[in-house]
Amino acid sequence: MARIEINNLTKNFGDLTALDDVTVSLEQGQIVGLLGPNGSGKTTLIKILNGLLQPTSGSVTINGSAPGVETKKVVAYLPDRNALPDYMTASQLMDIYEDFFEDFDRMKAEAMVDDLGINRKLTMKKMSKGTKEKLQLCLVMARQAQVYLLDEPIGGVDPATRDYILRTIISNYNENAVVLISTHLIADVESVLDDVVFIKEGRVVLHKAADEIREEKGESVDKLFREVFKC
Amino acid sequence: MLGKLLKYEIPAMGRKLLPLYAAWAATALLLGLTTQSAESKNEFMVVISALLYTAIATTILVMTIILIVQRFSNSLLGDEAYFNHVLPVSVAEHIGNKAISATLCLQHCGSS
Repeated sequence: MARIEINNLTKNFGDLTALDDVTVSLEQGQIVGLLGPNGSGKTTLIKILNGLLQPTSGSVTINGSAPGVETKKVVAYLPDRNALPDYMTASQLMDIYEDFFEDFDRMKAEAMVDDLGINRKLTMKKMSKGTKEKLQLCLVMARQAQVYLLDEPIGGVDPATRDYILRTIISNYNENAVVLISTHLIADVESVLDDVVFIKEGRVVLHKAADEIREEKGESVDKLFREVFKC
Repeated sequence: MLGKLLKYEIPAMGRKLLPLYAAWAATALLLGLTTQSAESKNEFMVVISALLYTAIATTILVMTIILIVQRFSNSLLGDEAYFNHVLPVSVAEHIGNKAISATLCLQHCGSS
């Protein structure tokens, strides 16, 4: 049973307020889109959920505990940059994941890596940027986690792979898990989202079901985003 | 968990240090051979080998220290930190891992 609670969360970097009194609750069985312009605080929020950053004030809990060793066992994180050691091959990375994460499904990871045409024996250093991203995604999605935090999962990949990734996210759907996707590519991702959170300058401006938005406003989430965040 | 971290840390350091140790072993051998077969004409060779040996030994020491600092800063403070810090491992275990592998490398360097 997964549950993310964010209460009055504030994060300051010196003078810069990245998150301003954010309160959001995410329940299990949801695929939530965290949408906002550049610099709105999406990645900061995800990093705090991971325990990579500490809040300035307020609290976050995952399944009732603050981010720590216990939550890291059930949270799968896809960073917005390449974080894996680049002298390792895909096989070796799968070994590491298998070693540290009990919920890692090796067979599934191997199937996904093969589906995407990634050479298991090639070191990361020799892979293209898009291939590295695909590999990172395979490793993360092969975990049977309770919380998935995906930071820009489809940004650097080709359109065919985007479809594959979105299909994988849906087929991985576990009614006991929460999936939080932070992205700019709303038109692509809209179809898989249950809930939508708009974040602007560190504040949550909207938290609604995607269907509700489409019914009430009579337009797609993408269009609403462009209106709300017009420059 | 600490054991698992060490399992990956030590080979990572070994990858960089083994070629240097191989070079060191080669110069040690060279020094041994030239010293044994030293006659007055070969003194030059002995001196060269000795200099080479000292140079390699110093390089290994310096590289070991640089590598220890690099491993720490890259894997816990650089991009790889995004991976290492989300492993279900406490900060104490991470630091312990770096400290133990650093000690092992320095000890190995010192005893050589």
